[in-house]
Amino acid sequence: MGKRSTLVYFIVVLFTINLGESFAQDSLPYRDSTSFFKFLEQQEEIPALVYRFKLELKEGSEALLADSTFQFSQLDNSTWISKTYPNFSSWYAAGAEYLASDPPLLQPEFLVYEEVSDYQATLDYVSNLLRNQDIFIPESSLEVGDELVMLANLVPYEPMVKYRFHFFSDYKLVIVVSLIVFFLIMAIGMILFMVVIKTRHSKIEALKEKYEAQIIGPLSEVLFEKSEEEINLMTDADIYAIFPEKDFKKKLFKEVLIDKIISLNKKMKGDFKDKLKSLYKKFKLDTISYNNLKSKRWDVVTRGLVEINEMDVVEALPVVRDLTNASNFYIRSQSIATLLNLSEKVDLSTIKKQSYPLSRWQQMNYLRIIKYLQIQKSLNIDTLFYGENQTIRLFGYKLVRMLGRVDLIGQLAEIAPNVDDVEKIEILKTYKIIGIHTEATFVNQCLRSENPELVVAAAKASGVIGDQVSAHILIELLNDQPSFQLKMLFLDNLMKLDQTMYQEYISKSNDLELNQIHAHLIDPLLQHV
Amino acid sequence: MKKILIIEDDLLISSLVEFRLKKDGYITHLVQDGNEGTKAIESFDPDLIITDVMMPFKSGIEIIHYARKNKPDTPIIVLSSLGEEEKIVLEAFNLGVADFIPKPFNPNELAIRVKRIIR
Repeated sequence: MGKRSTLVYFIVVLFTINLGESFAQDSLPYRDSTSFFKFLEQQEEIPALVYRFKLELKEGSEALLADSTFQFSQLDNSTWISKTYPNFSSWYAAGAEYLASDPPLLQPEFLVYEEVSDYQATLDYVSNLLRNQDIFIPESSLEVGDELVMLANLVPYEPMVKYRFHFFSDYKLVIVVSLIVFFLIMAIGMILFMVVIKTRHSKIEALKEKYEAQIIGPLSEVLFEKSEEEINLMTDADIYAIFPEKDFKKKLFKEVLIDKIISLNKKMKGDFKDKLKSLYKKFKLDTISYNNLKSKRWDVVTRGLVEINEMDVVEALPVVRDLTNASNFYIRSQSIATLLNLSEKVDLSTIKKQSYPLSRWQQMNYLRIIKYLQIQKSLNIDTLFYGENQTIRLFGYKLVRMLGRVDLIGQLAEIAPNVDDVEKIEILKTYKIIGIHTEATFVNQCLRSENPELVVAAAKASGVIGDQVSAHILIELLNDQPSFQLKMLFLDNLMKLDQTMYQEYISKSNDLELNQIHAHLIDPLLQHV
Repeated sequence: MKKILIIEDDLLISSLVEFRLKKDGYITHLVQDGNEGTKAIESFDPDLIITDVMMPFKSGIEIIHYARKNKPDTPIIVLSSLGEEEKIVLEAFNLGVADFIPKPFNPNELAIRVKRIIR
């Protein structure tokens, strides 16, 4: 039986056996028909509940009809019913003798709201009144006399706790008990879980410390005493002479060893780096890194990628390449960084093929690597201009200006008129930063755009790479009475572009705002504010 | 024999440096935080101090201050990452450290510098 089945079984048993019975016994003062009648006897009157006798005519019962105490009235040919009694005691006192005769001459009848009610319905009715506190349990004990036992015998026996599942009929109690049990189990479970985790964690930490101590000394010795060639010639026996075979075969030991080697690799330089890489492969730690790439956990895959990147495990590059379009952000970023770092022949087509958008963080990360790589490798940055999603194309335009690739301006100029406004803005920034005066026509087209953001970007670019036409367009834009911010931007760039036209325009203008902006722009203290 | 105090919180690096210096016949003492470092300056009375900059409790700069005040003639080599702020490096030199070795570094190169300073 599984753990889950055991738990379910435990809960069901808890509900159905113990709680079920105890609830029924504790909440109602009677548990069978005898104690119920005793309870009724102790009540003065119960609202809407009355009692009477029923007489079936048979031999020996004719004399009862004449008894005026009962005031019988005929119900049908053979059945007579007595008057009703509101009080159980008086009712029972009147008919006890006949109820107890064998066979009984009278039958008891209960009426709830003047309707004949059987024993079970009467019991339920009284129980409800009790639960709603319309009647109360008398203080006197429920001692049951013989007479009531005899009366109870007239009622067919039906146990109150008819089924063990009777407990479930009170849904409020079930909910409360379920919640308590749930929280209890959860609390115990969590405590146990924490204890287990803590113990396990402490054990692992202790083992890691032990392994660290085992690793540091021998590793230092190998690094200083052996050359790279000697490391490459080491046999398994040589390795087990350095690290105990029993420990060396353990996964945790190898994980600690990987950590230490990678940490050293980051902080060492020169032949030590090469020795560390040789050791990494000699100890077959590259296989662990390689296998990490196939894990279903993203953190394990990313760790594997970092290890492969740090230790130059080029054999893993085909798998790394497959991860460049992974759905997980970290895997994607790290795999591209690894590929860029390790590939002999690498270009940016891997990034181009990405269907996921590039975040700013990824762009920063790639830029750092590309800046370093572009000196040694041909990266084909222009391939990004034709990327599958816009963030990749935008990254391509940014790279042109950040790396100062004037040789790619021709290609950029070809595609610029056909891209959307967001890309045009990025291209304008690139033109402006690099100072591409040949693209003034494109700037002028953008200045006439309906998109205010594109106009702003074009105005900023016009100050650096605009021409006479740009100056005229800026004046037209100023004449359209734009907002204060835009006026300032247009004037500023007009001044940078053509001082003569700027002075002429200002001198002719009666606009107070324009003159204030002019004063601001020519003030040596304010012109950069 | 000359005594060298190594104050470095990275046990792996410090052990490697210690291993290399012991090979050259120096007596070494290893501590892993700034507090231990200042205590060891008094108790171990080193001929040379090699210290990291970023450490628990007391930084390398505080160690240098302490050493300059209490052992003004003891040379100090600062071993720290290149990412360290220029201001800190300049401060270390202003305080009169003998050398600054950026990480990543080559332990053999460190050994040569130690030999030159301690001679």
